Amino acid sequence: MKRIGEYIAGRRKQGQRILVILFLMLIWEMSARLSGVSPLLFPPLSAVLQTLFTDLSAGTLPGRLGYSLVVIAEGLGLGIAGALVLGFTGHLSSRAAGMIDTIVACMHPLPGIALLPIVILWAGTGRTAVLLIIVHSVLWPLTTSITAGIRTIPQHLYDVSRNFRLNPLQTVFHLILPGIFPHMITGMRIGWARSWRALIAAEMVFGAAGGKGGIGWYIFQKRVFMDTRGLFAGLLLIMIIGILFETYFFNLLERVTIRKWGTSR
Amino acid sequence: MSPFPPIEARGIDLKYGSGKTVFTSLDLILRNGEFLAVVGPSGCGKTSLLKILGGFLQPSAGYVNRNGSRINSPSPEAVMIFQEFDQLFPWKRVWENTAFPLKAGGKSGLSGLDESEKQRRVEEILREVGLFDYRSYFPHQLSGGMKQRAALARALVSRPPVLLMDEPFGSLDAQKREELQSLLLRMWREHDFSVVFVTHDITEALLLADRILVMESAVFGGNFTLMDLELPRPRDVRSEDFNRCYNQVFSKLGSEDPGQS
Repeated sequence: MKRIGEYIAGRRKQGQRILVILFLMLIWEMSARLSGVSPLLFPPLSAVLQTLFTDLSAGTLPGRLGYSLVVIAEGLGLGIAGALVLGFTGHLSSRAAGMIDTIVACMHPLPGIALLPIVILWAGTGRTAVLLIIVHSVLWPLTTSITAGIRTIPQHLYDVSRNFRLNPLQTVFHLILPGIFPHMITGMRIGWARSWRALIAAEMVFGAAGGKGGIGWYIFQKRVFMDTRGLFAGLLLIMIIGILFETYFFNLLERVTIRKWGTSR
Repeated sequence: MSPFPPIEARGIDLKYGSGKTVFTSLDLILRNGEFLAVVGPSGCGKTSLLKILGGFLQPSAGYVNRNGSRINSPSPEAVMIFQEFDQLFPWKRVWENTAFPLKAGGKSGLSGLDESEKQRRVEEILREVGLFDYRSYFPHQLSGGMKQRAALARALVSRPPVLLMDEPFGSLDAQKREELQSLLLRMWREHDFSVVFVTHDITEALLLADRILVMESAVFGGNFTLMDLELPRPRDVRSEDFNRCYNQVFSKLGSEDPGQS
């Protein structure tokens, strides 16, 4: 019964969200048409959607989007791996934990965009540079999450693991990784949002190397040609991708893990 | 049967980090197959003693032998069960939790059992504790009593010679506690293992144990007394002998009032 209730509540929430979005779309369309502002400054939604579909079907936008998503996946992967290494090292040695804590505290407040000049100096303006910015924006918050996650695993589970003589590898896979999962997902949500922003910011500053560029580069180009519709189309796409990841990918991930285990609701 | 006692503790001292002495020179020899209860007021070091016997905690002085050899770390030979319900892995179903000790590494040699034998043992023990029908449940879907049943099944699936229990039924309501007590006694009779059972409930200790270790609070000097219980089984709470034993233990525990210390 509880599940059915949750399901209905979930559906209702989704329905409400769609209604709100439709309402906002309507306001956009109407205000653009009725206000008399030049479409060059504020195009109506219908025109923006038209551009979006044209560019999507022409293949330029899917290519840009794919490029961005691949870079972000790599950055997230590297960030997760690095954060796991830092978190586990801190777990194994309290001296290292102090050091890692301090490094995270220093690096965490630095916006990726502020690092850009240095990154350009070190790595040029290509893909590596974008990747570095993404890793920077994912690594520190995720390390904080993982460290917190390791600390919240109940002491009894560690005792049980010692009791049954788990080897280090078994301890990682049967205890620590599933144990930190609620915190990991929170960290990954933050990391995803940050890296998505960092990526677009970096691309808009660097432009593209060798004709390759992502969604940020798409927006940058549209600005150069004063293609306002295209500018809005880019923004719309960024929002759509963000919502899709948030509601589908992360929610699905939670449903098959921490909500099934009852370690998070 | 081994000529050595399953657990032998000699001259155990326990001081906390602050330098506070909890107890000194405790000797304890657990007999093969016996049910030993440890009672005492909170803060007397019952749980710490259990952890020392299990190798989870190093004593400030003295040593613990298991089967005649020194221990300094926990082993699957003496399995601990806690009061709290969070000792099951939340991400494993009842079946996987129970089967876990057979798969985990370690020197118990059980990871070498063939797969069908493991399956058979898990099924058998789950049926004994009455959880076979719940084998595909996750721990958060179980009641407190069922969680403790699962913990008991997991502890016994590898057939360890010693069970170390830290107030395992302390968080259950009276009815569930009685159910679990008789389940534990049945398992203890049918399988061959010794129990060290920590509780602050004198009645529970008298219902279950062959012997009782009574620990006094540290403020009274932390003395301890070992008492053999000559009560016939099944124990009858209303019998005169039971009452006599109760008063005996109660007087040993001293006043709950820390007085002038």
